Amino acid sequence: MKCVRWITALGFLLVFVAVHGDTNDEPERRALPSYGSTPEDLRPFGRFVEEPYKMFFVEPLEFTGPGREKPEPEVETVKIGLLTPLERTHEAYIGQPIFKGTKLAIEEANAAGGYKGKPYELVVRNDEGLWGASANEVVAFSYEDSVWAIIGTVDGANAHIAIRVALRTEVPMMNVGDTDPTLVETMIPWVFRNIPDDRQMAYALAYHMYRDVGYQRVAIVRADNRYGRFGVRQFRDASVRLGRPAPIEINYEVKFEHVNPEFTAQIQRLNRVNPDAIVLWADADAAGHLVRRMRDAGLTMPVYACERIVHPMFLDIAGEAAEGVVAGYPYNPDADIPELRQFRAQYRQRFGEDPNTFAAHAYDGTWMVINAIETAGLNRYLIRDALAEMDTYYGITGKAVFDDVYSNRRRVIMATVRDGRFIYNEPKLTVSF
Amino acid sequence: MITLIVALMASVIWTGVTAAEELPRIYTEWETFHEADGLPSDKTFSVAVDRDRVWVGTDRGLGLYENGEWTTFTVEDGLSHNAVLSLAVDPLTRDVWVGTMGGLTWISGGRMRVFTQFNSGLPNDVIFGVAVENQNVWTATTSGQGRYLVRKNSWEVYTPENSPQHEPWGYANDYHDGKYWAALWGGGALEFDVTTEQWQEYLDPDGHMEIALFRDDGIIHVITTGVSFREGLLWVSTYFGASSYDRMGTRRWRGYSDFDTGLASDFINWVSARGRVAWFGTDKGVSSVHYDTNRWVTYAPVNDPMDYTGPWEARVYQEDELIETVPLEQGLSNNFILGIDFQDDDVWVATSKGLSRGRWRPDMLGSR
Repeated sequence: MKCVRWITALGFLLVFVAVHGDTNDEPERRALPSYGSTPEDLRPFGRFVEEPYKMFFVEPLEFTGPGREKPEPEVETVKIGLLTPLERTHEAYIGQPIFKGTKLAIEEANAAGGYKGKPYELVVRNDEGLWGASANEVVAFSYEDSVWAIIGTVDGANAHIAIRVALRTEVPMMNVGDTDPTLVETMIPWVFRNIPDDRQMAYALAYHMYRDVGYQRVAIVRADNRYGRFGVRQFRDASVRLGRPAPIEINYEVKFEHVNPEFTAQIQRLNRVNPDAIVLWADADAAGHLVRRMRDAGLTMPVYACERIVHPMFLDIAGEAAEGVVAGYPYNPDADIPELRQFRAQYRQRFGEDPNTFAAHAYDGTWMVINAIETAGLNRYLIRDALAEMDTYYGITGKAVFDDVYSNRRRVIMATVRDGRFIYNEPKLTVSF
Repeated sequence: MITLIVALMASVIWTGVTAAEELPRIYTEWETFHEADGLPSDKTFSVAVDRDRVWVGTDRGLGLYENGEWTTFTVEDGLSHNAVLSLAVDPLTRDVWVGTMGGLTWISGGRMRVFTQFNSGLPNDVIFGVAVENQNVWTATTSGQGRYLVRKNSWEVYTPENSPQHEPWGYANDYHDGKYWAALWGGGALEFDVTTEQWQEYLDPDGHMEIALFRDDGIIHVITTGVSFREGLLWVSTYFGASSYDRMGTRRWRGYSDFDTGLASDFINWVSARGRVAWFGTDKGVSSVHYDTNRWVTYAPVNDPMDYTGPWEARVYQEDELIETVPLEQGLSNNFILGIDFQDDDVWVATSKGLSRGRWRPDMLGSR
């Protein structure tokens, strides 16, 4: 029996190393060993239950309803919806680059002749972040605008609300900016996501911080919204499963500037706990203020954060305090990909700024939708099928590898602030997800 | 001795039931309705029976079937939106409450009144579920549970601020025997006792999205899609399987999956119970189960689950063992099921491509 266990363990180790190694080769869809590439030591209840009653998301989602037989209608333009926070919301700094990346892709597709000579038309709706509003917007996209697919959105709650309506109205949604792991953990076969999620970020951070660096006590600081709550969840669980539970989890108010601009309570608690390091899930501006206040207060522990802080706003606000801060990141902007260099140059020329991860994933995601339309024709069901068949995709963000719930499981990297700017792929990870 | 007598009596009663009518029944006669027959659209989201009338919600209006004729109501007639997701009929007044993708419509005395989030206390315009509770009407929306007090013409709104909702995203609801139930997307099932006005939530005990740790420990997944409460039994549907809870008796949960029961598919859009039999609308057909016997009858295409134009059959299972297959002369209009309601002994089924009616024929197969 012991021998069998050792052979099983060795087999798992080989698969794990093959899949999670730090080579440039991304895993193939069918080679993913478990949902979310979850390693054995991070499996829920893995120490106590050999196998749960059911494991979800390990078979490809399917849509078994009718609709594929609907004929292609005559149209003047081929409409694609974009739901993204553009104004009157704290996430506009994410939504605006998504709009710009999407716009560039649509313009390129139209310059190449559109769909059978018909131009693509981007129908844009603002995701204001008001509770439930995204449901109304998807209804409008589906019945008033008659779009063929929708790109968006960013906020985890709004995205969840939107996909529930998309399930009923049967319109494909390509998400390019919501890293909430639970977005695709819903069984909805109309949802696709091309940006790696916070589950992957959390696993990578946990392995790096606990295994590579050897921290013992890592505190968690997060926004008191769904982004913060679900962003750190996998890191919190991973800390427990790796035998180093977080000594404290501290929230801050999203509207911190009105209620707690000095982050006094958070800094007092960090001072009291004195952790080895901090994991921070926050928006760029809040993170900038918090890190600056921390350093002003004499807190010198290393800070590891989410991808949202990789933004000029964080660097401007934090100033010198940003030095050494490490963030998880969904792709390498410095990768040697000619199309990526071209995109960055075009984006800079057009909008006067560098594209961030959201702009790049929006560009790739829009092209995924356009390719699906051109493969399938003007039928939402067939467009869905075309997207579902997309095991891999080579875009400006690199090779995307889609799992059974249509979420991109490309390995994430880290980025570190050096001399006032982010250096990508530093530190190099020994294990990535 | 007493135990023996009780057991014998139970056996006699049970034998009597079995001899007269084995549940769930096997419906062998199905009738279908499409746009060509007068339905507003083939895409039917919901169905609600009001005695001899049948109301059907579609993506292009509300249909009424009465005296063998179809009538269509749209926004031109005063409906709040043409996409009708949910329906409920007040059993006393016969008023109809119509949950659409653009507000709530109240049909009473031949007139329509529209409630939206801008002209009333309705939490959100997209109404996934509507249920009548005495003189009140509940709406399940993406922004919480709305309760319209008809006599007071006022609204109560329940969100995580004032009730134990892990997430406020209502997806379906039901009222029966003094209890209001809501299926919350990401929030499990929510119970409201009308007498005590106390709330209670039921979550997936393992707390993880990617697994169900044990079968019978509670709701199989926190993303729930339907609830139905009859005879003290709560039935909860999800896209991950189903669960039942003996709320008024043993307080035990039981889980159901397609691999260990006769359930057509784990992807369940709808659940409706009648007595101790629950009906599940899935993406691969309809299944019914009797709580006490775990006997299943599933109606599905014979070949591929999507081959709905081909032959259909009724499959009878005892737990997960297929014990009988009955060919159907006429199948349902489609395998993707979105709503179910009952009319006397008949069952009405809303599908993604047409409406179906299962006629109970005791003189035929089901009476064996």
